[in-house]
Amino acid sequence: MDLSIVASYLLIGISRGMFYFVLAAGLTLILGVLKIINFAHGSLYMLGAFFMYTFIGIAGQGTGAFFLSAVMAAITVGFISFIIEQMLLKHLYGKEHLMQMLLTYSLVLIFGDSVEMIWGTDYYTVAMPKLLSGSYHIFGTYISKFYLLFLISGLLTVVLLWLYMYKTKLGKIARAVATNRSMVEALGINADATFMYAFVIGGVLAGLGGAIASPAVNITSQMGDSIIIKVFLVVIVGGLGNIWGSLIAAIIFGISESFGVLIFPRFEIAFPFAIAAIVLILKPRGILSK
Amino acid sequence: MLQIKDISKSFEKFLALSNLSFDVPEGKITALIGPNGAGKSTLFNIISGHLRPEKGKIVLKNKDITGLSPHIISSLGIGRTFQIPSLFPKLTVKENIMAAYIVRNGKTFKFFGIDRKSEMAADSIIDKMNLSEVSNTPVTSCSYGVGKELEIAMAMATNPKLLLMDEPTAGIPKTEVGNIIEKIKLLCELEHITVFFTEHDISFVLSIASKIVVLNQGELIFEGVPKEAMESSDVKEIYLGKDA
Amino acid sequence: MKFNRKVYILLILIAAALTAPLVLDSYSILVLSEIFVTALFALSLNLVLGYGGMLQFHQAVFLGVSAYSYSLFVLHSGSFIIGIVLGPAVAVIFGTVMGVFLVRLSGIYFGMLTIALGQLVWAVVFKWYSFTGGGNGIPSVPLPGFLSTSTERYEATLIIFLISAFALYKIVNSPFGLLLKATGQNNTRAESISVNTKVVRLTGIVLSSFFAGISGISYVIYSQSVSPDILYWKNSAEILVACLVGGIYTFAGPIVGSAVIILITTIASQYMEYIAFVLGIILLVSVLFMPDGIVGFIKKRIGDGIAANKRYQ
Repeated sequence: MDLSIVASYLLIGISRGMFYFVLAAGLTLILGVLKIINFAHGSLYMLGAFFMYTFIGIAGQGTGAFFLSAVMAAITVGFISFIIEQMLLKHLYGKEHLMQMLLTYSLVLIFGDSVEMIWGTDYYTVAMPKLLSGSYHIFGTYISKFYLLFLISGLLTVVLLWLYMYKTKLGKIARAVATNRSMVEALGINADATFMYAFVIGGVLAGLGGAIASPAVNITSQMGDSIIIKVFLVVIVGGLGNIWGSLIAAIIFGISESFGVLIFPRFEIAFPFAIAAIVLILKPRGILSK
Repeated sequence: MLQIKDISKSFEKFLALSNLSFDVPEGKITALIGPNGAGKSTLFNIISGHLRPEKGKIVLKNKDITGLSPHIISSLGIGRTFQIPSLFPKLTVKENIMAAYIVRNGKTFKFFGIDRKSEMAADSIIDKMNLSEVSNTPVTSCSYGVGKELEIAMAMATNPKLLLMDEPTAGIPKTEVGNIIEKIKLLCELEHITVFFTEHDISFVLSIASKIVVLNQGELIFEGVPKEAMESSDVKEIYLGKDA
Repeated sequence: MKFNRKVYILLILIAAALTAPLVLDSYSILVLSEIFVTALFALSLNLVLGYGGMLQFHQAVFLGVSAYSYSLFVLHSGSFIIGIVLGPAVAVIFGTVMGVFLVRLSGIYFGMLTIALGQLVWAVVFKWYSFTGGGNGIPSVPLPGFLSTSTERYEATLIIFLISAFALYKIVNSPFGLLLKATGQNNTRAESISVNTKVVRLTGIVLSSFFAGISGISYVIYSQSVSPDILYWKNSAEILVACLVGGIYTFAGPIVGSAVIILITTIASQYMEYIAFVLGIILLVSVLFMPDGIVGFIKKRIGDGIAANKRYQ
């Protein structure tokens, strides 16, 4: 294999990994803080893509309109998450985690059909904005400019999450809750606000993921089903609740996927599950654990 | 009976126990006291197998039990009660006790029918402890006091040679503390059970224990009879402050 | 007195179910079959979920491998009896192997591993076209001659359900059942009364996979086909919903939940397309207002009623 091809696949893999990270970061943040799997994460991702489609319809096809729509879609999904948290999930804190997880699953069912009621059963596509169409000539090969969007969104997520986790009081509490909840409660800190922020930030990231993926996928009511499982696996490998572990795991997944297509095309979909199972068996606290 | 040999344990950077060594004599009541964070619970969790020490050994009747699984340590004769009642909340009082007897009678893998022997044994201990009225009540609907007594009943059902009790009087009204003391004393004498317990109430300790071990910040600062403990300046310093 | 009345009601229900094909049309019979298959599947899950306190998010694997084992074996060799034994046997092998790894984890970690392992099995079945038929599955699975009419198939799913449900009921109320519940409610406490909790949990998983395997055979009798969809995580999620809606802390809960969900979706599908929406609303309402499920809710009402009567006497 030519070195330049390897380099370009590596770059594509890293970009894909960054995209997975945008989704995994939200899921793992919720897992760490609330100790639940948010099954609706895939649905929020799907909603992000649908809102993107609608907003672009209003804002037009330009590059600026594209980014504005993406931000709007992410905020809208964040707002929906806020409603879910305040109106539904909040009432289940202190009850068994199973109930909270099943609540998020009920949303999967409800959102899946709701988008069909609103947008119909057709599938939609969003046109690539001018700035991101075409390709760059790097390492002697051509790489679609679109991957740049994944890369930038991922890096932006890394920076903003780092600021939140390490520079704000709520973020610091969130980290403390993730490692030792009873200690935080013993100190008399009310964790409810932390829960709300974690859930809403998770929602914003899921919506953003859907928005930036929209030019590359068919927008359908089922688009969240398979991605949610893949993102789960990233979260497992990274260590439940460990954001930086998820970053590393997401990049590993992205790279192995871009090379996996080359090497094992047939059972490619089985590999991520196998990797996740092995990590859970050998290192249940994730790859970064001691 | 039980020997603690040179035990050390730390959490991240915090040293919870350092080079701790002492004996728990057979057939007597030994108390473990010390301020919050002294390492009492950590030590209990190490003895019962829920935590592993970094260094040192736990020896039960000349048998090294360090690092064994909790269920094995329990089956070797170390029973345990928890500070905050830790029971099977959705099971009834009787079922809680029966669970302990089923394991003891080797009926864990009986998939059909019932185990009459365990049921009778549970009934008899419920009678002895005056719990008949709540026998068929799920534990979640029982009072805190019942929970505390059930803790003792369940530990007894495992037929322990050594009983670890974590703050048996915590959360119980002062008027009922005497009642609990009597029960513990009776158990110890009648069934020849060695008791090793933690407690924050000094007066309670003095009235019941024949040996006292004092911990402070993970270190042993006193080991001996209660009378001497009261005269020890180190102990006074911890409980009464430096000026005393 | 109360005990007798319960048994009478149960006997009447069983008699009615056995004679149902005499009065009901073939479509209703098929729906009832589906209820018995689903109810047994839900009961098998609830042994670990409700009683064992384990977050088994991917029970469908055991139903699926059993159904596939039977179908593939019968297609290639023709022996029905061996096929019927093979299904649950393979389910038990999967249950044991997965269980050995699963019991080392608890809580959410346990749940995540069930999804990862389950989806691994799904991915292999989905992609191994030459062996499993891939995404198409096996559209037509042969059944023994005594299961050729729809009434015969109905009676078979009913009898399998009744026998299995009885066995599960006995297990839940046995000494082992008590220790499984104890371990599920408080693992640390169970250890401190000498319960080998890992072995108890593993035994629970193996038993549960066995009964799920039996429901796999029942499923093939009902549908006469298999596809990878039965192993997909959404199928597992749906059965979880059935357990919760009925009530996971009662024996009858998963049966009632399965019946309610199948009846509602069957009826709703005649009027609208949005079945998932209806299911979602049912689940949402259950979680928020009836966390103990329909059966738990009714039991509590009756319990409160009796308590209230006592107070006023």
